[in-house]
Amino acid sequence: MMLRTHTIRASANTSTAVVWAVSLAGSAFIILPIVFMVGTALKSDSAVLSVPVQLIPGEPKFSNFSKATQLIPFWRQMANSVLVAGMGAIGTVLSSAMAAYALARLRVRGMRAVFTIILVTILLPSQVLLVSQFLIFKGLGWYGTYLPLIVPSWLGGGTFNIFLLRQYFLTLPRELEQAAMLDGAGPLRTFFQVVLPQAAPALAAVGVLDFVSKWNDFLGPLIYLNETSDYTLPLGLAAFRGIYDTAWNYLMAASLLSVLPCVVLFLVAQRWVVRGFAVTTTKG
Amino acid sequence: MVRQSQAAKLSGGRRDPLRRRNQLVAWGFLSPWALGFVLFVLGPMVLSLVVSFTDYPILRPAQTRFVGLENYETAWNDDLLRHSLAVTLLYTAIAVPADLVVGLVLALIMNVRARGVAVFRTVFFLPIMISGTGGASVAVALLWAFVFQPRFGLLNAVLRFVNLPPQLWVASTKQVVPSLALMSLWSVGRSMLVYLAGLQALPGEVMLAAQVDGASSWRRFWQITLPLLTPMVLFNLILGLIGALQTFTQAYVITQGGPRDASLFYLIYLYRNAFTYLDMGYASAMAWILFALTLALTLLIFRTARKWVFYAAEPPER
Repeated sequence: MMLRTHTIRASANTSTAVVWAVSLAGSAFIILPIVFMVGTALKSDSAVLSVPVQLIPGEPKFSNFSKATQLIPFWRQMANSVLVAGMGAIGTVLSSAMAAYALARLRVRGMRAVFTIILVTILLPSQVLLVSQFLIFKGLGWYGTYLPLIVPSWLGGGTFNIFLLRQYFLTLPRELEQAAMLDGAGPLRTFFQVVLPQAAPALAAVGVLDFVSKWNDFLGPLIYLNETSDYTLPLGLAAFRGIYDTAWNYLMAASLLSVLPCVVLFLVAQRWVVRGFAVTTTKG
Repeated sequence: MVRQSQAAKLSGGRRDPLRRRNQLVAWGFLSPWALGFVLFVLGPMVLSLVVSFTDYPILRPAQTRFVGLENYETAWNDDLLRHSLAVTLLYTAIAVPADLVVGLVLALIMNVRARGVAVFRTVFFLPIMISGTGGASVAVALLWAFVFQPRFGLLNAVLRFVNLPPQLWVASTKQVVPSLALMSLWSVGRSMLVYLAGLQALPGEVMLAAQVDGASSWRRFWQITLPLLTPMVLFNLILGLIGALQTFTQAYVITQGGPRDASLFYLIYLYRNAFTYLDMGYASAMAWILFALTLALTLLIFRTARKWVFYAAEPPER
């Protein structure tokens, strides 16, 4: 008996030690680059290019941030990013929720085939359509505008999101919808006033993830935008590097400012996002 | 109204006006998706297939002509295309398994009930907050470009600190692909989260029974936990594969495909053909080749998945 208790305690201690050792090593790998990024953003021009490398500068230069935002039209480009990612995310939430609702609730002929098509398109590598989508948008006269970056979100909004929301709608009780229908509410009204409010956590998860992915999209803006004043932040940052090759402090300052909105958004919506993420992946 | 709908349910007739109305409502809800699917997925797929059989210099569209399989023949004999495919596959072969294994190990550890674990989970999730679930962003690529910088970068500073020789990282033709794979591990939190969701859905009674029967934790992992997690492994494998084959941003921003084409990923080469050389026909053929390759690999994985993915008996959903 004594021996047994002893072994259990010993193994509990070793496992805690292993947990901490691996976690600390892994966290260092994640955190050190971020600390280095913040440190570099605060370095003077000469401290950036000095050896040995300092992680955090002795005299932080907070003025780097304002200078970085003047070297490129930073705020203008941030506003562009807000517009593109915001309009895109709203469209994604609305149009994918509509399709998902039809798939989950309105079982009519042909719905199975639609669902199969949607599952298959999840596996379709989007970049394959890069060239031909470009030709189509150019033909429509949308080259140089935000339309190619926004309109597709309003028409479907990504098959993965449709799939996620369908799974979520299936978990909702039908009674409320039926009651609303009996009270004479039409399908649109039922959808907007009864179904969507119940699905708020899943909608928030889809919206946040879609906003962040559009905020960070590089290839789309790279292909469709050609004026510096129209650039979104990722394009602006990449162009920044092309001009000021060794100005790492300003580059890191601008990059840091550009990721802040997403981090804040995540922290605000963290619970929903993690839950939505879990729903997507555990119910296949 | 009520009686009518009940009657419709009972008779189940096809020509019922209510049923017609339902059909209309359903397609109404689906119409934005259907329009988008035709305009932005199906249309482009057909178009790119057609364009891939032509010589289409986009600046002189009048000179467009049908060339049959010529673009595919050119691709077959294009050494640079072959090279870009090799680069992409090498990267995939390193980055995807690394992500699968490290993500799983981290998830197992983050699933232990110990002090501080919640903090570590947030730390591993930080890169996802910064760059999203879609792989590297420009900001992250710029950060790592400086982390890899041989003279002033973080990695060599760490190596010097522990008395190891500094490396060239992305500036070396041999190290650039493994370096980018190392960078991809920074976002391992995505697959970790998928495994964690799976771990938390594990049936507790099974684990407890095994523990009571005296199965060692090692044995419990190989015989119970891992088999129950195989659906998550499959999910991460497929997503990781599709993502890795489409690697673009980090290579474009950090190395521009260099040094000496050593990180010329397939999509970088495709981009060059389409938007630098403006050869839309050849680029479309390249897109279809990548599509075929991705499809073949995905199908191969699904085929073998029947043998190694374990699906617990669940009541049917519908």
